[in-house]
Amino acid sequence: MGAELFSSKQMCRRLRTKTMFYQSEPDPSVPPSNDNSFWCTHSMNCMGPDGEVAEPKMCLPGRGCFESV
Amino acid sequence: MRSFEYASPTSREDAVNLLAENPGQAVILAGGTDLLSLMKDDVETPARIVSLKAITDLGGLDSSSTGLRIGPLVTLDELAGHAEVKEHYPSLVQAALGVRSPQLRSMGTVAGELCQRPRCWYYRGGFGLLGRHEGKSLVTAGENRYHAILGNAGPAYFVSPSSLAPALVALGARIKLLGPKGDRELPLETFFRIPKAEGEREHDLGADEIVTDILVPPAAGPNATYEVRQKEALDWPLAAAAVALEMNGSRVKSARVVLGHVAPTPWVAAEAAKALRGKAPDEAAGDAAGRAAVKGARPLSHNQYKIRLARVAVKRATLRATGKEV
Repeated sequence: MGAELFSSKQMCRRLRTKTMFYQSEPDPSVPPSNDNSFWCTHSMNCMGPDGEVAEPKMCLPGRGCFESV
Repeated sequence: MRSFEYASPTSREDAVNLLAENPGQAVILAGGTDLLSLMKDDVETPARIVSLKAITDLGGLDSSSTGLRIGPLVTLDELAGHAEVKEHYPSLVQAALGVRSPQLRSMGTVAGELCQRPRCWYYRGGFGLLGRHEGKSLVTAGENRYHAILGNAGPAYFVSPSSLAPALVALGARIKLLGPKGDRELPLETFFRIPKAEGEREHDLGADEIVTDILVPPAAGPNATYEVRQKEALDWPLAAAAVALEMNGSRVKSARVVLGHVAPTPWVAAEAAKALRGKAPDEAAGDAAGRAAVKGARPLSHNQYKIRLARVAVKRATLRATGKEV
């Protein structure tokens, strides 16, 4: 799960994972996975400011602390 | 990264004019090691970048009987490798080599190192220099393990990220700036300041000014820097201390002790200097100086540990200055 996921306008702009900062091109032969560590730049923690987990499936529109890109 | 205009003046005056034409919207590029990452993170979104790289007289490192003149574009590697600096200002060499990345030392400049923006993750995450959201500090309620233990009455809680500044302040360095109204020179100690409101900066460089010289007086005696780090690879120290001593025989005649990475500015520890005065700079005196240095520390919720690190940094810098490797 890398930069391409975060280009989605649906993702909260406060969500981060290390792969966002990789300079390499994604390898299409490697299937995306969701085994990364994520954090929220609002709480600087793996939990968001609302106390729920920060991760791609959670940090979506509708969540109270969501901030659009 | 957003698009921007790139200017590469060849004189100091042209650089100042290019900055002054676009106040607040133009930024200086020297080594670029901090600016580019700020731009990639959308923390800085300048309309114009003024590169200083083509202004040749902003480089150069000259040593004379009046001390050292460091050009702002001198790289950290050039500073650390200079024979006179190695002989008389080991604290500067130790601080420069504390920047563990060869790439950063090769590209990063002395003035850029001094003026780099804080590493506070709330600032880098887009919450402003004071890290506030909806009128409240994110730092005091949040993850503050790397934040200030001194000078943290608020609203600023970040730590000064410069490794060279404590050593230069301890050595009594001055900084020269050039702006549209001419040049001005001030002690490096007063160049740094604690912002009281969002929009203020952590140093006194105007948006239309450039650094032209860093002037270091002749070293009065032994000096050293000691940094406490989480890891030996590239990272900023957790706490650091620079000590510059003037000796009278085997005893300290006068001292300057400056802490780094523990306050929003390089933190001059006058009580620590007082504790060293008249003493032989041994372990006991270094320990007393370390305790004095952190006497006024007020930790946040997660950074109590930095008090001990700063204390130890002072002791070890004192011992290192007098050749007792620690």
